[in-house]
Amino acid sequence: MTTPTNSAERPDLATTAQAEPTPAGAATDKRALRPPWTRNRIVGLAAAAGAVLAIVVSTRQVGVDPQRLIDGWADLGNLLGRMLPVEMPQPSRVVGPILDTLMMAVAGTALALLLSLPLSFLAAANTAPSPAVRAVARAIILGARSIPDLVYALIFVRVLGVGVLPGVLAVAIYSTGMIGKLFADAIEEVDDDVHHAVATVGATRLQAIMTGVVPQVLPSFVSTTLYRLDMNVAASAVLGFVGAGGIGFELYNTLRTLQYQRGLGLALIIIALVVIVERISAAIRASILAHEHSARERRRSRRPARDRPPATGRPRLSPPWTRARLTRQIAVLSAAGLALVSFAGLGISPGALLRAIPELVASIGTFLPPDFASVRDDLGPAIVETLTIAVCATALATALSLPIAFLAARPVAPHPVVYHAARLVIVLSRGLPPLVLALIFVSAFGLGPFAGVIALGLGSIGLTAKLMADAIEHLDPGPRAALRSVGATRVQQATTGVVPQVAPSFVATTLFTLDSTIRSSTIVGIVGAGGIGFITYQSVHTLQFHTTAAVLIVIFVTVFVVERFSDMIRKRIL
Amino acid sequence: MTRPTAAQPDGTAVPVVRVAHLTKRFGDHTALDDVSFDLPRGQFLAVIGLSGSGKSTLLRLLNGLHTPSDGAVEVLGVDVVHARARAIRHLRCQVGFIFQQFNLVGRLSCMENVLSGALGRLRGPRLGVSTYSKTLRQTALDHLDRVGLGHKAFQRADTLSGGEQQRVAIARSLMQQPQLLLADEPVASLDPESSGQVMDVLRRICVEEHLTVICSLHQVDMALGWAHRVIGLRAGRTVLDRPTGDLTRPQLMQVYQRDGVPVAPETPQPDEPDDHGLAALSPTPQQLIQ
Ligand SMILES: Nc1ncnc2c1ncn2[C@@H]1O[C@H](COP(=O)(O)OP(=O)(O)O)[C@@H](O)[C@H]1O
Ligand SMILES: [Mg+2]
Repeated sequence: MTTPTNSAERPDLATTAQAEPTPAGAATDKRALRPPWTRNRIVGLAAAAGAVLAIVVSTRQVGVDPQRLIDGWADLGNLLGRMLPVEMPQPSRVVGPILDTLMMAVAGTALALLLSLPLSFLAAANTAPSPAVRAVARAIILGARSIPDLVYALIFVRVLGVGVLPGVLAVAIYSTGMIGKLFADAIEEVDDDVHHAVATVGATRLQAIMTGVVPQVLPSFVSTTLYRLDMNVAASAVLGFVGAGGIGFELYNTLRTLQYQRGLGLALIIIALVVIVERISAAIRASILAHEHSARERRRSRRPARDRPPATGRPRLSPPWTRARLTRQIAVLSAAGLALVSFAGLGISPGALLRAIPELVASIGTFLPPDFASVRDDLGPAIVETLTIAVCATALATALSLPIAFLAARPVAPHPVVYHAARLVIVLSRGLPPLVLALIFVSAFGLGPFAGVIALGLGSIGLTAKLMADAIEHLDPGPRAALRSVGATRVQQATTGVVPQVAPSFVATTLFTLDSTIRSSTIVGIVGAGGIGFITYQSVHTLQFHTTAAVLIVIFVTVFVVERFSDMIRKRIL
Repeated sequence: MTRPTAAQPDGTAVPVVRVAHLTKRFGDHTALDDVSFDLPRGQFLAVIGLSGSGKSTLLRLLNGLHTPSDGAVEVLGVDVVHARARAIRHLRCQVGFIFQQFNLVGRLSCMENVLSGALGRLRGPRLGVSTYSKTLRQTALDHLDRVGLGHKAFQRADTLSGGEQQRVAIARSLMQQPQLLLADEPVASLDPESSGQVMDVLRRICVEEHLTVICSLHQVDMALGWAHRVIGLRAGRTVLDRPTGDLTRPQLMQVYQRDGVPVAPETPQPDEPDDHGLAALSPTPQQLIQ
């Protein structure tokens, strides 16, 4: 038995793989061992440098001074000490406000759904009757979401009086802007073939939409609305800060009167409320997704549905009552029932709603013309402060979310206990509305943007770390398995196999966080945590509505510009 | 690095892989049933069989991803069944694994993917080509040249064709300085031409590096064209174990019979134009193992 030598072997096997002759020995030494400077690489580095510069400038502006940070944490420790032992409020005193908060969220979401359904079809390129209509509808949706809900509530309370109605309307209008955009995007993604197929049988435009588009976007509409509902519970919980009803009013009063032990009790209730609703909404969304998935699978494999009814002799003309259909009908009916109960429970009649609209429209006159002159000197610094708060908070949230996300991603987490702990941090952060955090941190760190940065930074972990962790969990496990097979450690697997793969989605998430903190940073000023919110609050409080209008325009433009900017970059990298 | 079998002239003494009465059960389902074989250094073994016949299970038993229900496995002189976790990890560093889906880190360059094959020998996390030493980078480039992709070193891995990606994956496992290469259906998701190229590369490193290769396949012609030896599995049992030299295609096709009835292999039918032009693509170097 002889072993073939390499030299004997080579000519024999010089086949396709060796099509390009390999430069040998000395020649390879001269070749580059570093990646070449491509345009993408340069742009990426420039963007990273820009981000670092923005963060450095912003932290300077906000004045993150180490001494202050240390003093602040000591104060925060004191504050927490004063919060203990926690005093749970008497059930009889909070059940009402809790129910109000929940019903405000449901009623506001229901109204938003009614408003955004027609708007979104008018705003989607493939269903809009004309480009002009589309532009108007898009502008309405955009305008609605460029003013934070709390600012709407602040103004509506002035116009309509203290109560739940302004709160519901504030939630409704802001949510219309949020879900209207997502609805319109979902419609534009619909497979046009179906739409056209329906149109070719001679259906009218409306018929084509109803038959060809609606069934396809329905699941996404439902999950968008559910997601908004749970965001709205968190939003409704703080509307009371400006007198728009709900449990936020109680919290604001207890914290303002320095009853910290009761304050913590209320904060815990709010967290529990938000977390419970979020869990329910997440469970329903997951089951919808699962159902959609299994339906698609069945279609692909042409297997009959499991819940198909036994064939009867007589052909039927209405769809059979399968379990899925029954569940669907019950869900729709109970959602509608819930909305009606909420309106009734809040004492908002259709008449009251209809009367509010002309009142609001009439009040627009009192805002015009906007008066920039009275706040000329304050507006510039205030908006700069708002921007710097948002940038710093985003940086803080990202820095804290990165490690949390890796620990909260099931395949990467070192231990189930760590995984659950990290997920708990995320849930707690989501459950605390930024304004509540801001109020707490203002007590600890004093008035000013610093408290705003810490509050928004910690409050955004819930959003940022969750999106990042989910991105890691959805990653193809293949590369990680390959790295494990070469003997890489866990940390090496994560650095080489996970980081590069999730990088674009992490950048997108960070931009999304910026988008969200910029909205919040315009309102934390209401509790004294810096930014333009304070001017807004002052002007509304002193009934200088012309000034309010000027401030609103500035907020609108800022939020709009940041959203465009982050949308643009997100589209580019994803 | 210790080379347990390096001192042995191939085929005459301690085999690289030694499998005796290997059985693997999942619940009451027997995936692998009393399989035994020895594999001398430098041999290219193809394992063929229908889907579900136990090919992947066999490969996973060899690098300790599964523990056998019965029988013994010895790889590179290490008793896989009784070795400690540390020894298994050390063993895995010496055993390259090629996946059907390549499993490259798509957004990294080919170069960095190849470099990641050295992670088992390095301490600490690495990201970026410059975090690896110059020597390693030079080696990585040499391995890329060897699979014919040196000119694409700094191209992103996910911009490559399937066949090219699989060749990068092979270069990555070469970076491990492996003694044994396990490939689980490495060409199952490739077109015939790319399949030929990948098999060429595997065969060439087997011969040049004197590396032992176990490659599961479900194409009979691939096995005949490139392997030194074929083991056929049917429902977890060895139904064939022969050098390719004295093996004919009909004999090999018998592996695909179930209860005496011929079953079409998952590959296209032989009468379809799927010969992959194999005869033309490569000489079948069967004489090498005699
Ligand atoms: N982790 C597992 N758990 C249970 N059954 C398994 C597992 N892995 C493989 N099997 C079963 O063992 C048999 C052999 O599988 P496998 O080795 O993957 O076959 P092949 O790779 O030849 O297609 C199959 O019947 C499969 O269902
Ligand atoms: Mg397999």
